[in-house]
Amino acid sequence: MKYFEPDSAKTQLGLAYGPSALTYLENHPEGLDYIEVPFEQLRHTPEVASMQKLIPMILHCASVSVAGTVSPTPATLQAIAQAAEHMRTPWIGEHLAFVSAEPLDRGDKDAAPTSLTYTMCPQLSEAAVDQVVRNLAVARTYLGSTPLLLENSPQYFAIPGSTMPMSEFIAAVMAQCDANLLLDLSHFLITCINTGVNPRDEIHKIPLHRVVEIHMSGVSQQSGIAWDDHAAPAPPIVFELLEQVLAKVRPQALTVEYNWSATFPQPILHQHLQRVRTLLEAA
Amino acid sequence: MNLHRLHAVLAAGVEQPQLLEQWDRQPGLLSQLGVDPSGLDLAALRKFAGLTVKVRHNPLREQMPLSFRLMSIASIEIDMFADYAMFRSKRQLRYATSAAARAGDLLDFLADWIDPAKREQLLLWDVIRYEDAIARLGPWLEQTPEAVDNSVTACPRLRGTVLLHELQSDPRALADMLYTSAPDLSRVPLQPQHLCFWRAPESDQAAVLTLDELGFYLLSMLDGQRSVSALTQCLGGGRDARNAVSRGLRAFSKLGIVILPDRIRRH
Repeated sequence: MKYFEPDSAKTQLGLAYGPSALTYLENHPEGLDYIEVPFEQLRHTPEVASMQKLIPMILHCASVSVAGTVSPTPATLQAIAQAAEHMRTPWIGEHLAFVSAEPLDRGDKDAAPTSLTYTMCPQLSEAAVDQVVRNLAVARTYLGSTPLLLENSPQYFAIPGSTMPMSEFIAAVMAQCDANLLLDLSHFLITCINTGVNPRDEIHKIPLHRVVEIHMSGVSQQSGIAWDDHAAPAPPIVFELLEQVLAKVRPQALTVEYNWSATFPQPILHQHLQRVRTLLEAA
Repeated sequence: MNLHRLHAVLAAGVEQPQLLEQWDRQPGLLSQLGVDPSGLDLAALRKFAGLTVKVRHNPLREQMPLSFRLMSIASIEIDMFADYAMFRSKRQLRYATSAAARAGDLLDFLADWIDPAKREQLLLWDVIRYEDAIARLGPWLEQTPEAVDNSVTACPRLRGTVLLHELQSDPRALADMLYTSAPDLSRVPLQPQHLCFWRAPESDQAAVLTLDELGFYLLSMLDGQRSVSALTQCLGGGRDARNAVSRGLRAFSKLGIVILPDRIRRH
């Protein structure tokens, strides 16, 4: 088995698990340092773990519902801990978001929580920050010493009751917990576009010194809103933001997430990885 | 605004988009749930539900790359999937687990959703049926491929599995356009196409044949029950029709799609 060994002098480059990543790995076995695998994928198809014979893996997750008001079951947290241990992942990346919520009908005691299939941006408020701190404390009891990185969520619309912008929310969470940051530059850009702020200025409001990993993916603009799009290549401004971030911090890993489409063009994937590697080497 | 109640409302709206329409009609319902209706962008939440359903359909991309690329270029993915999410939510329909069934459900929805007056939607309706047919006769084929049966019967019959689609454009021409640096959908010619998707018993993939109108209708009528005379009658009768049917059937037989009765083969 191959394991991810953090190197403080070098940012390692990886791809998010998906059919296009597997094709790339087959064609360029030396071109990647690791593959980032979702816990949910491992739970559904445990045989994916055997890929670690070829390449180190990092565990990503969308099941902890860190910013949610409904905790995952102990069985889920135990399964995440077990996967992390087997993989010897250097950390677990988790969305600063929620995937489950209380049922709508408060009167129905038998009603199950609402489970989402996609993580959702929480209310950006002090109450949500406090909730994150509480949830992390619970998660910590299961996950042991494996660090959690929190990934900034894309914000698609104004969340009622919010009292602060996303950058402030991230900073507040970072100030009150020991988790570090997984900065998704595309999520960050989406939030900036949808909330009308300049990403080149806003990036400096993020606690960049806490960034351990970076994500990059595509962004599409449809129906008046910017959307996360892992089937599209990252736009030029994401590379520009990356340069700005690299001028301030040396993350340990950078994951390119072009994992929604089995037919993502391999030449573009290769070109973008080369471009990122060049930026990392120049930083 | 209470965090618990807000998250409950947001999650319920995404998972059951029909609630969004109810809340839009009766904002008081949202107030009862503890959320100020003036602060919640229901239209954006509806679109977000569309994003989540779009992501659920990622497994279809492998067999439908052109359809998804077209939707992306035409910027209609989010609106289409938001409408689809609403459609299924109102009918309390779950999403199918297999890619083939999920594609089938999506095509059933699109059959009513597509507005043929909108060029990008017309092209989508063509290309998605094209890719669906190829997938259904290839990786999504559920039945065990039948044993090769070349036995002659009294009536002409199909050999292998055939799907027929009448399109308004040629998805092969669209494919070329979609992978240019600046795709211009207005330059994809609109011209009726009669396409036959055929998987021969000895093959593991579909061949795509462009037919003329006569060939298209002739193949569509081959059920192994209709005789050559009956087929001729269906196409208007008379000597010209009979000759055309015979010629067409012989041409299909030569390609291997049709097994002819002995009497016709000898001619």
